[in-house]
Amino acid sequence: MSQKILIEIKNLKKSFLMKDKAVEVLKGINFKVYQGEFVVIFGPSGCGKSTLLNILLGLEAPTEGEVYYEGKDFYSLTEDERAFYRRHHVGMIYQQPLWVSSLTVAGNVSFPLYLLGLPEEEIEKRTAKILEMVEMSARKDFVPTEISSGQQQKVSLARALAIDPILIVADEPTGNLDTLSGYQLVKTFTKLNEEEGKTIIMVTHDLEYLRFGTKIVHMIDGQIVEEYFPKRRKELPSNFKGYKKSINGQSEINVRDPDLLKKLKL
Amino acid sequence: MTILTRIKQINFKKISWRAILGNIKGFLGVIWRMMAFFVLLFIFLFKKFNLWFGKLPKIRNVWHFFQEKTGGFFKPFSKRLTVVVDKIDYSFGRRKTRRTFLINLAFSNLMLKKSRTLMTVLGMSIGVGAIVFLLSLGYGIERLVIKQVATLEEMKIIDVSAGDNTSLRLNRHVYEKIKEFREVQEVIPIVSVVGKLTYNKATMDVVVYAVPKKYFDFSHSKLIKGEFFASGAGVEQSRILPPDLRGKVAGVEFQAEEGEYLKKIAPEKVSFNILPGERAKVFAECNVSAKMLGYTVRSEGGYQGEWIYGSSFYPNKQERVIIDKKRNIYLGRWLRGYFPLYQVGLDGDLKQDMGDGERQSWVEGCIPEREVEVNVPLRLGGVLGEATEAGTFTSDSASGSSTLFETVTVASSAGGLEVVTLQATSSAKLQQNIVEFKAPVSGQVVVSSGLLNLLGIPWEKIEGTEFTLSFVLVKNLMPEIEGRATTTEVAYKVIGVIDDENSSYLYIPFADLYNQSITGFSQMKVVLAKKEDLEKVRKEVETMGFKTSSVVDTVSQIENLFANIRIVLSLLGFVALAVASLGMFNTLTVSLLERTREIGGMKVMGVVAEEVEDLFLAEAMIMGLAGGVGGLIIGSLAGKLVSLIFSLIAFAKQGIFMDLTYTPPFFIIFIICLSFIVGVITGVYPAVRAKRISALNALRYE
Repeated sequence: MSQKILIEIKNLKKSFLMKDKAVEVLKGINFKVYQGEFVVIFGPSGCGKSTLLNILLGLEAPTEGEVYYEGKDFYSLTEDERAFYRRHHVGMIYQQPLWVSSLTVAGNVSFPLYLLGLPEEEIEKRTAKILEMVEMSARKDFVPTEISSGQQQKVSLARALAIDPILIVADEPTGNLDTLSGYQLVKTFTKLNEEEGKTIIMVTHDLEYLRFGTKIVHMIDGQIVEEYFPKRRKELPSNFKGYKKSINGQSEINVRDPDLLKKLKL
Repeated sequence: MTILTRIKQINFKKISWRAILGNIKGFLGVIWRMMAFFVLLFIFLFKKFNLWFGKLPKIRNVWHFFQEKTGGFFKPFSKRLTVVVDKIDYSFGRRKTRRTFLINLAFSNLMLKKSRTLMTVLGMSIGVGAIVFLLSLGYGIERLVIKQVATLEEMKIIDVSAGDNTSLRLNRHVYEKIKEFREVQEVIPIVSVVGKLTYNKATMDVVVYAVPKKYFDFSHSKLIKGEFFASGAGVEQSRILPPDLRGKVAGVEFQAEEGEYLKKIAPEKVSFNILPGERAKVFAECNVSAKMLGYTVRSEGGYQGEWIYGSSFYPNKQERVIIDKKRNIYLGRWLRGYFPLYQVGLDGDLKQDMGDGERQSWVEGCIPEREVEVNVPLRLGGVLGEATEAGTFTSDSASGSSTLFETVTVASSAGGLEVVTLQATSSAKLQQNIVEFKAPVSGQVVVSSGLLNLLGIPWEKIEGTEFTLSFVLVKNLMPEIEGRATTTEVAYKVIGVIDDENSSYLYIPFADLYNQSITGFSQMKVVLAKKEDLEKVRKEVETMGFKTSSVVDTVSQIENLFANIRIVLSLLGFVALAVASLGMFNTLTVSLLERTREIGGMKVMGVVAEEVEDLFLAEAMIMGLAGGVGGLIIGSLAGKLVSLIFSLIAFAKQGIFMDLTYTPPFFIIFIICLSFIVGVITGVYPAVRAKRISALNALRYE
């Protein structure tokens, strides 16, 4: 790909101390995110997806390895500088939206805009526009916890999009949603990716949504075991229907560690 | 906000000047940001208050009127106010989160838990209210006590007296000098003497104050009956002389000689000598108020000098009154020349004044024509145009001097009474002597009610009651007399009564005594234009050698006492405040724990530690400030309530509401600042804790 590399992760390791014993959660991860990609990371619970995401966002420092944003070593920056990067360039959506409880729907959506120090009128304009876009204008004066989780996730998306980010990070955004709402949300991601060229990193364990990604990353036990680049959307290889299928080494599927897969009896 | 971290950052081992400068700069930056934050918070609260005010039905109109009057600057969203806010806000950095937003958010957070916030603020209000209540009570009672001691007018008055220094006298010179001070509005001389009052054939001693009319304007005295005397006579207007020198005054015929102060009596020098065995006082000027240099005695060859009109003196041996028509004063004859100086030794005998050297000092000075014989120069008539007149003078004087050595010579006018008295020659004989009271006399007296009771005069008959008075004059008032002298009796009529049951005294017009050739005053009241100048003027008067006192002394003692009482009271209040601030601390900490996840979430979205800290500080400050305002309200309401209860109990008879509390304006500002500071202090710990919350908390919470 001739596209610009947005994020590059090199030999990323992370271990936690648990009862005086170091538990390695990430065991040397290398991968790149190009601008305009829709990366879907999937894997079983406890495989280190969320830890990877946290490190990616600059929330916790890796034990080893580096994260580069646009060629810059992210962890050479201070915590505040990383926070500034996030507030200016990254939109986030979590399974459980992190609401500021004292603010209304509109207030929460405009929150990241206030962090940018924008003028009041502009904030109001942009908030109204983005709420219109996610069809939540009617709920703008509600307290976020009063509306349904599907609606909440829409607002959450609106909040993530408010700052017009270059990167959207979604950690199991469909976790709390019914199938239809989840599907709609991911459809929106796709639309954003295709029409506005947003780079999206989505973590999920719902295989249903794998087919929306332009790059699919399979993680097991702190390692990336396979990467797949579907040529077209919604096209998944027949041998990529789950972890149970063996992988034949097709060209598009980048099997990182066949031995490991065998060992795991996949 | 980051003072603590900054202090921690200082590496004490490696302090260099550059580092110190950097730290100072950083510290100033922190201070500036703190202040800017305060200002923004104030403006924010003002806006809230303003909006709330604008909604109240009755106040609304007044409020809008005020806003119009101030050019709309205080309108909640006026452009100018917004510009000011933006200016301050952007000083934190243009691309950063606006402090206004954080403050807004803090307010919303507080409003989310309305009842909890309200309870905490109420607790703070009670704590602050305790301080306000106790201290305003302290201030109020102090004010009441001071009001009892002194009126505001009296705080501007300095009482000047000669004090222990007997060589200094309060006289007209001092009066003029003090009056020239820029700060002085008025100087009121007072002569106080002992008077012998005879009423219904009984005689008693009373204190007599001779005061000018304006004295009553500045004193505390309350007239309960009659009036103050009408005579406005003070130093300037006193010694009023009869318009016709040879006419009848007060029914008494008068014979007077006309002179002019400091004018020579004879154009050329005269020779004179002190009478044998006498000592003459030498003054620096021909005025008894001037400095007395010492004594001189008879010299074999006699003296040469100028014969001059000077101030009148006592005892005077002239046959006739000499008056200065222009200045309206009595005069005396003086001799100016060089005299060998003597001083009175310890044994009472005269010793030669050796000055610094070995020879006796000779000084130029004036001696009153009293223990002196003057050889009147004989001049040829017609040589000088004024010969006749001069001749008259000299012959008069000559006859005067020839009779000087005799004892009392009463002026031989028709009445034989009121003309200047002439006294015994020897000063030693002056003690216990009787002096004629000089006319005119006003005959008006204002008495204290205590004196009335003492005399047993019935209330209805007070006005117009007559009694006679004679006055005991002392050396301080009349430098010429040795010991004391008593005047002859004069009739006085009561015209007014002053409310003072506890002591007996009376006031007579100043001129009455001043006309008795008195040169000294017992006391002077110096009235200032502003009370702030009091200490300055006092110091100046004291450097002149006089003793000063003022009601301010008492007042400052009271103030000292109450300052101590206030310390005790405020300690009590601070205990209450400490308890209240613990409550606030608790609320803030609980709300922090509740919002751990929320704060983590905010951090994920890119809120930095400092902003979280500011958010929590803002919450603490808003609560503190609200507590301060509430405390002022609660405290003053409690004060008014207590005042009301006290008024009902203690002053039921009078039926007057007496406010026991007083809140000085600076105290209000102090309380507001105090509650703000308490807010900050209690907010620091939760704020620092909130700052340390990791963003991951939010994500792991599930």
